[in-house]
Amino acid sequence: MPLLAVAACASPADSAGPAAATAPASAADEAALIEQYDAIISAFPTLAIRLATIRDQHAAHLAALGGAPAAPGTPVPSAVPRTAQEAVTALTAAEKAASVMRLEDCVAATDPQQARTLALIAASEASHVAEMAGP
Amino acid sequence: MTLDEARAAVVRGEDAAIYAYSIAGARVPGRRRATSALDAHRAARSNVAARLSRPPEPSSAYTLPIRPDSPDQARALLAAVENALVPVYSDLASASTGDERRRAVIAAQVCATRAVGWGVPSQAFPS
Repeated sequence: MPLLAVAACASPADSAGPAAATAPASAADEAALIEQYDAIISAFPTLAIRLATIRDQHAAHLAALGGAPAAPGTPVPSAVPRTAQEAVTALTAAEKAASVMRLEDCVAATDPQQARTLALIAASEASHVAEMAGP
Repeated sequence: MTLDEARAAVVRGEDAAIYAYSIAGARVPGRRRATSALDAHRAARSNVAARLSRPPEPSSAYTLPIRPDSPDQARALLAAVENALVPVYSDLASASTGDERRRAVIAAQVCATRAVGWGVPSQAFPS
């Protein structure tokens, strides 16, 4: 019996599909958040106690997503808020956006292990929003 | 973990949370918050159990990780049960797809948020 011709095989990138697309995007977002935190902690040392542990959680998220932090000397975001209060507001908004994006990334993930990791990260980001708001 | 195993684990986790809230809810300063959280847990339990042909039955009692002997201990207990649900919902997210996965992630997010609301620090991977 003759073999049927098979359609052109998908490339590894194609077969990885949304999972491959999701991980770099999620990792890039975490790296960007870390940069944002670092810039604000630099500019407002009084916030360091409040922000440093959250920033470190994002480093853990980045590692879990297979990403690496930006190289030292990478230019930091130019727009640092003028006041500590504005900085906290900006970070709260960034965490809220991250929690929504990680939810979407998780829903789109095709790898179940990655979905689990993204769900945990999405939960962590959501908790950061509450934590920034304070007691 | 199969999808039904993940759903059953959520039902068991929610039953434990419901039990903890029934014991500790009256002892925390935020009584109204505790009541609305208890209602939310009951609704979540019901939604997930509905997807199972034979959902687990609640136990008559559970071993609590923290005895809620004081208001602070009660808050710590409720924070702990909320955080404990985050990996359980994450497992359900992993095992499910589409709308069920979306709801599972949102549930994980709400539980982690409630934990911080009860006064514990956030975690990178809440548990």
